[in-house]
Amino acid sequence: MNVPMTDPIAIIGFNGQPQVECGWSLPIAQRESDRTQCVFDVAEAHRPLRWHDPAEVEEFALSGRWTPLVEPLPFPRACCSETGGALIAQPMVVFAARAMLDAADEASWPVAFQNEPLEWRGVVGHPQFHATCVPAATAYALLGHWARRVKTRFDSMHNKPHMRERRLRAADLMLCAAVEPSLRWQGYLRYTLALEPEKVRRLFDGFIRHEFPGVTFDGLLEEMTKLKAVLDSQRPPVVASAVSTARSKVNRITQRPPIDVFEPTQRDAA
Amino acid sequence: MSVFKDLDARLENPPFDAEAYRQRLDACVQVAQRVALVHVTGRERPLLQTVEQSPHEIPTSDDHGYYTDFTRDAERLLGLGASSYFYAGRACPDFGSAALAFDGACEAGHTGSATPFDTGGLVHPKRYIRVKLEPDTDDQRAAYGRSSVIALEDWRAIFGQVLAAYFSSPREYWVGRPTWHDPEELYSRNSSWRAWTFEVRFHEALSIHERVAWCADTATMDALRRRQMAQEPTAPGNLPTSLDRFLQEGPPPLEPRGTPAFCERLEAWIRREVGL
Repeated sequence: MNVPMTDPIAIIGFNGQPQVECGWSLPIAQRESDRTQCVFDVAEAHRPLRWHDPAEVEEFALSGRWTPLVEPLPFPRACCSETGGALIAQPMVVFAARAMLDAADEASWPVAFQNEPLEWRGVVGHPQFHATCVPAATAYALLGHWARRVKTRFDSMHNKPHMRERRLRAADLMLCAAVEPSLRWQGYLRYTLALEPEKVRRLFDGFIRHEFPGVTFDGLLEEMTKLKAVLDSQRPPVVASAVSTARSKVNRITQRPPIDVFEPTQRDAA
Repeated sequence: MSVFKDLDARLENPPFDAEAYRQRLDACVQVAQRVALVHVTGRERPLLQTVEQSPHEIPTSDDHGYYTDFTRDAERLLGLGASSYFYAGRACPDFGSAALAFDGACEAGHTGSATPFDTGGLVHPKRYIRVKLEPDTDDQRAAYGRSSVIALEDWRAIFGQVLAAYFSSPREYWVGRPTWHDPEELYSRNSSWRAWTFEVRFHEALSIHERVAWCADTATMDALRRRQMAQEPTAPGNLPTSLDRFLQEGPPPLEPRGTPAFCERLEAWIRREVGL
C-alpha cells in the first residue's frame, strides 16, 4: 500500500447507507486543501482515488449514495506510518445503532479498542447511529468483539422458550456484525436454532450454502442438533427452594435489626 | 471526430504503430466479444425493492424514480431515446450498492446503441468528461456525442478495435488508461475511466434474472437476508417469491457476505472470464 499522504485529510462520511444496525463501509475523505472528497479506497493500487468537488458530493449525499457524519472524524493515525508520511492501512468506517450497542452490553460508545482510541460521530439523517473510523483490521475486530458478546447473550437465553424473538434478534445482530467466517458460522447456527423451522431450508438455500459451499443441508442440521444439545446441557440446575410466602418474608425482615443508613455494613458485622 | 472514426487511417500515422495494432487485435477482439455488461443499482432505488417489485427489471430512463433528470437531459441532447444503461466490463460504485453483470446473450432481441465514453458525463452541466472542442459549447458537445454513437450490433467489434488501437494491452482498460491519444484529447484530458469505458444502452428494460454474476455491499446482503427470513414459507406447488428466485435460482453472489469493494470484486470476475 504505502501511499504517500501529502494533504491533511478528514473523514466526513461513509459510502452507502446504514440499512441494518451495524456494519462497515469505506470512508468518505475530504482534502483540507481544496475540500474535494472521495471514497477512500486504497486497497487496489491501480484504481486512483477519484476526488469530487463539493457540488458533486452534495448530489451523492442527496441521492443517498454517501452518508455524511454530523462532524468530521480525524483520519485514523494508525493508518499512517509513524512519521505520518505514508498510508500503511486501509481505513474503514464502523457504524452502529444504539440497539447494537445495547445488544452487545456496551454501556456507551467505546472510547478505545485494542489500544486504538475511538472517536464517534453522529450520522446525518440517522439519529440512532454513530460511526468511527479505524484501520480495517481494527474495524473487523471491533465488530467481531460485539458479535461474540451478542452470541453470549443468545446462549444465555437458549433455555427460555418465551425469548425466541429475542434470540432471533440477537442471532440476526450477530450476523450483521460478524466478519470472520468461524464467527459467521456460529451466527448462522444460532440463527437457524431461533428461526421458525420451515425457514431453515430457505436460509440455507439463499445464504448459507453460498457462504459455506462445503456444507450440505443435512450437515447443517447435524451441526444444529449438536449445538442445541450442548446449549441444553448448560441449562442451570433446578434447585428446590424452601417454601417462602410473602408473610414469612415480611416476618424475617421485621425481625432483623434496623440498618444504620450511614454505616450499612454494620448489620453484616452484627 | 470520435475515437473510432477513420481508425485505419489514424493507425498509419505516429504515434500509432499499425503493425503492433494488428498483433494486439485478435486478443482484443476476443476480450470484446466476451466482456460482460455491468449495471450498478441501488442509489435511487434499493436492490431489494427492484427484486421484490414487479417487473424486476433494470428500467429505462422513462422511470423517473430510477434515473435522474441529468440522464434524460443527456438523452435529449444526444438524440438517444429512453434507455437502460450499462458499462462494458466496468462497475461504478457511484450508482449504488450492488453490481450486476450480463453476458452478450442479453443483447439478443434488444435495440439500442453504444458510445465509447459515459454520455452523462459529457453533457453534464459540470462537464465531468473533458474534451477538446472549439468552442466548447453545449451544441459542440452534443454534436461530438452524436458522432460517437455506435449501433448496438456493432459495438463489440468497434470496442475490440479501440482496445487494440489505444491501449497497450486490453488489461489497461481496467487497471490503467489509454496509452495513445485521440485528436479531441478525450483520452489525455481525463483521469476517470468513464472517459474510455464503452457505455451500452438498450431501448428496453432488462430483467435482473438474466444476470450472470452479481455482488453487493454488506448492508445490502444483510437487508436481503433479513427480508427473506421475514417472508412466510411458500407452500409446495406455489411459485417461489421473487426474492427466493433471485437468491436461490440465479448465480450466487460473488461475495456471499457482501463487501464494500463490490465493484472491484465484480470487475475482477469479469477480467477472469475474459482471460485477463
